[in-house]
Amino acid sequence: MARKSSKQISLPMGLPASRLRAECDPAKLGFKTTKTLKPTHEFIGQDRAIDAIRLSAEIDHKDFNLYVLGREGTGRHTAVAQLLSQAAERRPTPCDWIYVNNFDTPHKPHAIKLRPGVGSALKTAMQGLVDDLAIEIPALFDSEEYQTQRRAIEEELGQKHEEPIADFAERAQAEGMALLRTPMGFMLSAIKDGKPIQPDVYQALPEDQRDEIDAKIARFQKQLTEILKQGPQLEKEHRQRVEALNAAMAERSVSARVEEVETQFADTPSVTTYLDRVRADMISNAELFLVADGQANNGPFPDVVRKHHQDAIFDRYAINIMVSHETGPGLAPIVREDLPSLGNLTGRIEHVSEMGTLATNFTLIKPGALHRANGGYLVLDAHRLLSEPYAWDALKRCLQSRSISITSLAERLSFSSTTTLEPHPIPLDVRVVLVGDRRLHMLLTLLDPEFGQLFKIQADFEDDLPRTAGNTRALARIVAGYAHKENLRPLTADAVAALLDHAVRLADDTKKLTLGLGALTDVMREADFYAGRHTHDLISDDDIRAAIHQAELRASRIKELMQEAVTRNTILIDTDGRTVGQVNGLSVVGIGTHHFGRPSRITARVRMGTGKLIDIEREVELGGPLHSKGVLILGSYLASHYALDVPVSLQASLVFEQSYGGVDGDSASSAELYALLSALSGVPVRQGLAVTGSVNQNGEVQAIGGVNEKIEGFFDICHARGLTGDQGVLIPASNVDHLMLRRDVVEAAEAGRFRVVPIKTIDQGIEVLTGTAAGKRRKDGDFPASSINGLVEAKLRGFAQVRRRFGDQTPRQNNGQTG
Amino acid sequence: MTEERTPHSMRILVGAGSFADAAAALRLVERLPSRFRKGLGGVLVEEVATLATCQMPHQRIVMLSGATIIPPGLDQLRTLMKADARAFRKSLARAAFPVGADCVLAQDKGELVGTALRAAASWDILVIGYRQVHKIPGKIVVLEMVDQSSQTMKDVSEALSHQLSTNRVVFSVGSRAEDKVDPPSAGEVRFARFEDALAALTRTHAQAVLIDLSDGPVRTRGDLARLVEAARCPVLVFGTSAADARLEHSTQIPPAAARDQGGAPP
Repeated sequence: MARKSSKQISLPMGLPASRLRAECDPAKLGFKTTKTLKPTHEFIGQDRAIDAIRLSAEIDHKDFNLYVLGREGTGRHTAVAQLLSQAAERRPTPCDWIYVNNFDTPHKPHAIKLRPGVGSALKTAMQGLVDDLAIEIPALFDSEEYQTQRRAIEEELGQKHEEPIADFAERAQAEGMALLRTPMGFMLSAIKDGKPIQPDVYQALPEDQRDEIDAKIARFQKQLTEILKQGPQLEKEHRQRVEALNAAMAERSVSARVEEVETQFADTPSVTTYLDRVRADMISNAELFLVADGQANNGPFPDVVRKHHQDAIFDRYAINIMVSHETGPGLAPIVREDLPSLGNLTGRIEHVSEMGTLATNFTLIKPGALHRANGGYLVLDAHRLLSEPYAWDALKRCLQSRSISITSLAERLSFSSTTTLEPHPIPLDVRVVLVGDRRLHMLLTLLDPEFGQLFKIQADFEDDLPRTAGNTRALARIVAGYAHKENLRPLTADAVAALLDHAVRLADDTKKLTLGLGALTDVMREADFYAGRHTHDLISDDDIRAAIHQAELRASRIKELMQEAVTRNTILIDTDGRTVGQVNGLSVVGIGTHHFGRPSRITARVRMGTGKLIDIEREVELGGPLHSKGVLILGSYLASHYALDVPVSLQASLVFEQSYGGVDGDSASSAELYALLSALSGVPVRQGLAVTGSVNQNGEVQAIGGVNEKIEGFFDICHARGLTGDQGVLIPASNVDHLMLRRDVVEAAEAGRFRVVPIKTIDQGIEVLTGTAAGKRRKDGDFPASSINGLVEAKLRGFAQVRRRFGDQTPRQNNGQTG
Repeated sequence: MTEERTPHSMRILVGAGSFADAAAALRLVERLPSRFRKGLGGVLVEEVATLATCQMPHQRIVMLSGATIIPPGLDQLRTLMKADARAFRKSLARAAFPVGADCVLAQDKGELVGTALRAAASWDILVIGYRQVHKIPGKIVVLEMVDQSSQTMKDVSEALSHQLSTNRVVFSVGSRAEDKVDPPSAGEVRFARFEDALAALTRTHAQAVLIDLSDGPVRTRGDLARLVEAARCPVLVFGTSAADARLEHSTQIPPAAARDQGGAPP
């Protein structure tokens, strides 16, 4: 294309150095070191989130559970811990909860609610009760008093049984009958010559004598039958009377001891009710204490100091404390569960191996975080909670039912076939605080309808706060507070200023300070280390900068490799000269938490066509949707700005050269448009400049992210090759407020060796890039012929005319062929 | 060959006509302190009179529950005896195991008391089994002649009384001149004649009766048989070597040949 002569526009100076980096003035901080500064642990810039946490912590209504969302390092956990602690001090100490044996249905243990501190006292009292009775009851049953009474019963009932047998034996003997024993029972026989009659002798007897013997035997058999039938009844009576005696004896001792415990807990009706059941069970199972006595093996210690309550047979009288609190001023618990598995959350039922089988009882019920937090607050990490199988489901179930039911994972999955328990659910009054990120909150809101019902409050933590003088000083006090809390060296005012500059850089906005305090405190701790290494008493600004620099250095391996590839021309990036249809675009590469900018060569090629704009990145599926959107906007821009009276007869292709990892975002759309305009106009682009910014259909250049990294990325390449003074970056004018560039970039700009040029429109940008006027439509509707826009429009009209001529020729050729 | 024994180290033989009788005896033996159980033996006697009576027409057996059944035939009786012998052997072994005692079982035919006495000639104690008609514990009765108190029998009876948590009562037969001055002590009942003691024993709810053949008042097999029937409980017989010298030693446990060679019971 013929190049029209045009007046060359010189390269603008770009922004002054003061606009490239808005440093904090240490003198305005009002202190020399943080040592003299009153530390604060208040929260700044998080009023919305703080109010939400306070509301959730103090409101009594159910389901006002809290989801705390925000970025890592914004102080979410600290704020939650601090605010919940304050709220907990105003709430009463919750009750103790224990599990005790259900004597009627052992697999359904009873839960008992007790005043704070009573659980431990009751446990100790029950252990003492068992120990006392384990000594007293055996002694009682060994006493002569008991033995005499028992023998009297046996004597009476034994005689009651013996007398009829004795009478029977005497009668039988008197009538010449003998009682014989067989393996199966007794047999009666007539006596002949002092011996039981033999069958042959019997057969030889006259019939009347045989009949007489038979009748006699039948009579005695009947009598013996009647006597023996009384046996079981007498045994039953014996058993009942001995049991009654045992109960009466045990009752005296048990009642006396249980009464002592009842007196201790007289003001707790639930305990007295339980103790009534204990008394009844101990009386009816007094033999347990005798068995324990028989197993005595206390080594060298006397039996009286033996801890009988540790014997498994007395587990039935144990107290299983699920949660116990100290008596004293009110303080609700704040429980943080770092491993919120199903078992750790709702508690679990353990088993022990007994004779090769798994057995359990109520003493093996273990409390979970919900038990410990009952009456207070439970803080959980949302991501960890959702990662644990069935934990989220169980938490919701407990919150909905307002009770803690213990169900094991094995039981849920029907993997367990051993005996298990169904403990009575414990009423639940807890405020759950989930700490997570925004994405998880959004997903839960969208996908789990119950989430919104149960977690009615969200505390959304700000990422940054306005950079006002007040906020700056407040952040300085927080820095001082952290140094004090973490026992770091005090910071000089210069160090604090450097740290606040870093906070501005992290916020990506000179009008804001980051609230990612985690990142700032990381820098402080590392700086404290460097200060210590240099045996300084204070952390200086050099220590702060060293910490920041070292952190960047540690993460810059990939960045340096990429820069090396550019400087060695492995990746082709021109930083001087002029080229048609080629622009240096800028992108940001993220490696973990570290980001850096890198230039990319964007080229455009045009020819006559049917109005098709080919985005090669998109064609090969290396371009993301946002990038494709930007490219489509370019097409629309061209179609709506040039040669409006003819069809768009352009075929253009755009490509990010040497890009193999995919491109997304629209921040390169202005660079792509410049490349297209250069290709259409045939005017070369200054290669010492790089471009960033998105564009809309009106040709306005719009703000992008990562502006600092992009400028520094191109600066590093130019610096490595040698700064010429003609190099610089075109940025959207709306990004000027976001500039917080490195000091070396600012110094280069100040020296006139590098420039940052704010751009508002495409026309403005193309003028800077080409040094040629963009040109405005005149009254006659045309652009100046030598302007970029004029050249572009002429090119497009030319394509349209060629296309029309081509269209006219083609039917004729076709007709000739067919005719 | 004689074995060296501690004063209370004894060998006990259990004689019974059925396992039901033997089990009652073994329950007592098991309650004796281990020092009393040096060796354990059993003799299961197939009583001829019982076998014959089973063949009588219209005969019935009254079981302990009070129910009546038709007596088994001879074959069935023998099968029952074999089963009883197996159970008897197992129970003996179980009783002997905890104290590491030797045990042996023999079977014989005849009349229980006589056969058992003959077998027990070389044993320290013979326990003649008698089934437990009911489970109400009774007394421990020591039957002895006045002034003929046996220390061993006293020790064993007191041990049993302690172990079974029951009363011990002494039936003394005979009289002394000083009785008019000194009445019997507590737990002692005096009878002028053996028959009087038997009559009282018939009406006593006893769990075990202890006698010493060498001291009386039981001296003959007939007296012992009457005692067993009157007591209706296991009878522990001491001094079996002093039994009726006319008894024929046809059954000896262990067999005479083994004893003569000094061998231990199998």
